[in-house]
Amino acid sequence: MSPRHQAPRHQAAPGTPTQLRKGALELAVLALLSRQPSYGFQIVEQLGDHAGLQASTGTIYPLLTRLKNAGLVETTWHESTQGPPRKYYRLSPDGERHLAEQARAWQELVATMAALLTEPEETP
Amino acid sequence: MNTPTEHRRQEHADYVRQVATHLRARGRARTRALDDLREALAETPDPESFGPAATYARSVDEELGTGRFLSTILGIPNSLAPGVLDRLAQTFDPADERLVVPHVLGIGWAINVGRLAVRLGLLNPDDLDDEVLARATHGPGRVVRWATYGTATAAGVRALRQASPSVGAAAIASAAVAALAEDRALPPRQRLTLAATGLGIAAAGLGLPVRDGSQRTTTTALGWAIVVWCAATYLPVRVQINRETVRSATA
Repeated sequence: MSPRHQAPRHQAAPGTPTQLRKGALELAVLALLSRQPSYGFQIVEQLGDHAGLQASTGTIYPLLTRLKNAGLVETTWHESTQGPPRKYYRLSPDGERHLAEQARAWQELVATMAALLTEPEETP
Repeated sequence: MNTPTEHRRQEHADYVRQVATHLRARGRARTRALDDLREALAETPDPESFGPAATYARSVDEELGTGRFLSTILGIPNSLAPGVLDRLAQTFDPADERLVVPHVLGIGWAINVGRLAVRLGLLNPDDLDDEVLARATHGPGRVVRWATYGTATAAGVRALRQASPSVGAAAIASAAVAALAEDRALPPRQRLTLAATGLGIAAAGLGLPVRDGSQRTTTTALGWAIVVWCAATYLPVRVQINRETVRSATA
């Protein structure tokens, strides 16, 4: 098996709420692509460096395809020193706007949830 | 610009399309299953909670009992059921993590050559999106179809000269399969694998033994057919990837 397709460095943290992670994955991928264009397995590896965001290639590749079909990412091909040419993903202008909107919504949600979770219970 | 709602709607439509590709159920059961899925998706923001499309389709087929009396014999897949073209397409799917998939037609398994190419480092799992596949099928894939017609013609001439019904049948079958691959309404992956199958059959027709004492054996002919099939699926894709790379470099 090619080393490029080995499993991510970290396994999902035990007890990580799967639904929360899935909801954040698309935003996380868009955020990573806003930093630099990356190829599919590179994204899987980059996610693997962040606790709670680990995902398999079986999750990320279909997600990238959906983002591409939605016009949020664009692809370019580059020669690779190892193996066949690689497809690099980068944010499209629509993707950048979508990321900005989603990031704003996320920040608002985080602030709301943080307040909700830290508020003391009202005594009757 | 895609609004979040449009984006979600498109995601749902893509997911339904993927499930439809894998779903073996036909007729009313199929229509109802896909309608149910659309309704269920409308109530969730994330299609990923339904799992991979192939897994979802498989669970629906199991629930509906699609082809249950034929689906397995002693646990071995038996593919004498609807969905031949879908199963043929599964034999060249780099994104599918399965190396062995149910046989296209008959009992047993087939190799997912796309996955094998990934294992050998010849392709990346995400290389074949719809766009690349469509371009590979319209461009380099056309050469495979022409090669099939040419090889089928050569096999037909051989059949006539040597009065061989088996070679003649292979020539006719290969041309028919290649003609089916011309149908632009079919998904690109089905067209690609159909054209390769046509060329494989034509190559087998050229190599089939027609009389006793022939050096060429049926086994050798079938071996050639498999080699030709693998090359005829991989090479058009690889040529297209190289074209995309050159296009990216010059853009």
